Amino acid sequence: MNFGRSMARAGPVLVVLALAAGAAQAATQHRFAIVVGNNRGGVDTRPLRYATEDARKMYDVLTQLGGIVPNDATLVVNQPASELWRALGLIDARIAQAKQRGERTLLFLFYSGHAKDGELRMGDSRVRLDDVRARLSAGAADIRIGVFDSCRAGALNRTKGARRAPAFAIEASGSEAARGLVMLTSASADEDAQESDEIGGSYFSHYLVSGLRGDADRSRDRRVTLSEAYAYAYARTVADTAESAAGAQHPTFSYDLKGNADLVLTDFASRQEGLYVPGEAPAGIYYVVDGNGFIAAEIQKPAGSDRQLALPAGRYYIRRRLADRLRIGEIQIVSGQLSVLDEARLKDAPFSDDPVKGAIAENAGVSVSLGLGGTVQSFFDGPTRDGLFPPTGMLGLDIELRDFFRRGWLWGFDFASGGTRGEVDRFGTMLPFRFNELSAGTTVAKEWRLGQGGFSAALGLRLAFILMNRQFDDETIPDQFFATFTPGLVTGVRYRFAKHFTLLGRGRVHYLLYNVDENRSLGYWELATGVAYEF
Amino acid sequence: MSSRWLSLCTALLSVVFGACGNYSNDDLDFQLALPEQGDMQARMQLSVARADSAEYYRDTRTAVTTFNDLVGKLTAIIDLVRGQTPTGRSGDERTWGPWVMDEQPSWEMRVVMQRTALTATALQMDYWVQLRPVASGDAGWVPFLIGVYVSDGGVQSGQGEIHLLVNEVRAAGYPIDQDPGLAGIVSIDVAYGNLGYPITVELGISKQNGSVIETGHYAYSEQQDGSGFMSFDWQGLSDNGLPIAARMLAQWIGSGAGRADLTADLTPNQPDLSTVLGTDCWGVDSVSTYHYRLGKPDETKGDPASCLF
Repeated sequence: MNFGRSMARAGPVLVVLALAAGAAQAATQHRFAIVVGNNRGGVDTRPLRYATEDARKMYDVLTQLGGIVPNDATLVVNQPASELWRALGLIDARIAQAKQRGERTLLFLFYSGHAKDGELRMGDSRVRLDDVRARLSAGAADIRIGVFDSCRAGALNRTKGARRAPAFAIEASGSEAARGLVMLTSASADEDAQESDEIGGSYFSHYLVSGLRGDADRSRDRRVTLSEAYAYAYARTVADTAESAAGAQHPTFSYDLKGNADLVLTDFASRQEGLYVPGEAPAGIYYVVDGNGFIAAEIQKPAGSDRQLALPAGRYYIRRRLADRLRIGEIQIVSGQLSVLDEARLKDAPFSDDPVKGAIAENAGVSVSLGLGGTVQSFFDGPTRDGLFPPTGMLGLDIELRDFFRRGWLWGFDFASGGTRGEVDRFGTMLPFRFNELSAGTTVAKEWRLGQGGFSAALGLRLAFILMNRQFDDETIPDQFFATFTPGLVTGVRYRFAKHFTLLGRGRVHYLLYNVDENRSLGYWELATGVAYEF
Repeated sequence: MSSRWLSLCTALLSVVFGACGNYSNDDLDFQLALPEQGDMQARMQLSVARADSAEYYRDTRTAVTTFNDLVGKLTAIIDLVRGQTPTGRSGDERTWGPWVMDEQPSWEMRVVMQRTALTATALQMDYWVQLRPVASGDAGWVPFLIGVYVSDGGVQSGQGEIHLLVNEVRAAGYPIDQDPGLAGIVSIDVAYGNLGYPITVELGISKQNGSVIETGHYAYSEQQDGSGFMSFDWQGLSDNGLPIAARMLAQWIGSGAGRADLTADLTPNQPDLSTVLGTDCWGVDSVSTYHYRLGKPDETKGDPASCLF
């Protein structure tokens, strides 16, 4: 499914790619980055799904491979425009300090979000594109790179003769170090910049990140230049959006550079850990999915040619999508080591086992599930359990919203009611009673996919309201009740055993402040299980 | 962390988490220590009432009814708080009220209870029902009822005392005599025990009659098989104004058959209840099996051997 980010068009240009030898500037420049992501664009716009995730991916690749230390990178997620200006001001000051020390400087500004009517939309606040361009043009850094993945951000380049082309070349002029401004946009001034649930991001950002991680390294020098990254992202974006309902999306560029201007954006020559796909592996597209179910990068592998991606250590899933099935498997990338993919070890799997979150949901978006189940609750403290709040069984109803706040997170509501019999010993007199409990809770949890078998795990926080009541068999004793809010931790496992049905198992640990006789901090646990239907 | 900060933190947590309720094990101790009417009520096997029932049988029923009414008056005061959540809790003390009294809106009432753990299974509960004029401050509280209960082997079995200090509240200006049931009463004192059989209750009452204070004393005992006795001692003035002391002693078995003797001291200032004024014995149907009255030999009926006691 594609979503639009509209942009204006610019005329096509083909520029010869010219790379200057030995221009690995990534290691010699002091680099700074401001990475902005905002899903909301205010009135007259639909919320984007992946803009903030795209920003985080870009932030990761720049700080891992782009020669930018985290202290020099600022991530601005779902913040108003004032935060962008504030970040620019702080970075400009630091750039000025670096220049005073005689350092060469580069500023990389990435924006993923809405743009409309000549303005970037950051929530309800707006920034004029002309102001952004002017700020970058006048920036203190020797090289300023602006990348805008947004609706109609191509207008940024229109006034400067933007080009939409599969590649561009930056001519080297002598030995002088490069100075100037480069602007890339994800689509032309009148085009939609589209998102995809299939890849879990916008096309342009996804391919730009994948390219920067190594798939764009056509020169095989283990460095990805701005030209290589753009060429890769352009080609893949146009190809993937050509058949979309919104039509093909054409990235644009413009630049105003002087000097030896080959710009190495990522350098993984000295970084060993990553994924290597040997030449004998079948041709096609390989998706690398991280532990959270998000596509970290992809590889477009030609027949007979190997490919390499620089990835941080961790466990990943590899997915190849064939016409009738998936080929999926796991691979562990160890720090300092290059893990070789053996495609023969991937297993055939139905599309329902796609490790990519949301990939199996035809109507991707917030998913809702309704569950029924039982809960057992017991307090940790023995005397409390024996004479005050006895262990109780409850029947309950769960409603869960997945991907509501952001992908991979769930927001749940649960209601349960139950009771049991108990008795309390007061100085030798046993007083039997009927115990009843009603609880209502809300949970926010992060969810992870476990393996390929349909299991997922969650960990989060829960706030519950519980109302406990007891009625004594001795009717002369008045009924008693206690009501309070209790915060807790939740962990859970979910197993999808049919297209719409899942089995649920949850464990909860809660804190409860009891304050009737005296102030006592109590804790209780709950185990819950049930079946849920996912709409 | 100091206790002050700990208290502050817990108070904040209470506010944040909105904890509220009356769910308390300690409150049970207080509530169960208060006697119910059933704890002190006389339960005689005298359910049968016929026109030809023995005279002293009917008199004994009347005495039981009076006794139970007095017990009911006392427990009614306590029952005001028995079914309610304490207004205040402080360690081993609970407070109910104060409330403005419905029948006397210029007065208010509160109940205070204190708990003392004597042993692992024994508790002592002291409680006070206090009255004061509205807005008179803490110094204005006047004790109206004082109670103590010592339980052993369970909060509902033990021994207790209740003292209704009618004269004290009367002296403080409370219009106690507007209550027809308490008009002229000086005090009522009850001692009871339900630790095991026999269950015993003794009730003393003092009443002003002109310049003379008349006193009555009930003693009731109940065995597990339903047998028991009730005595009523009375000291006052005879119809001709002479001091007199009398006792009605009724005894019965579980079936209801029993005997009652009326004895009196006919010699002023020489308390001796040896003079038998009359005797009635009755069977399970409450009809007299033996009837005797002093000085009325013609009325003597039945065989004294038919008497169970």
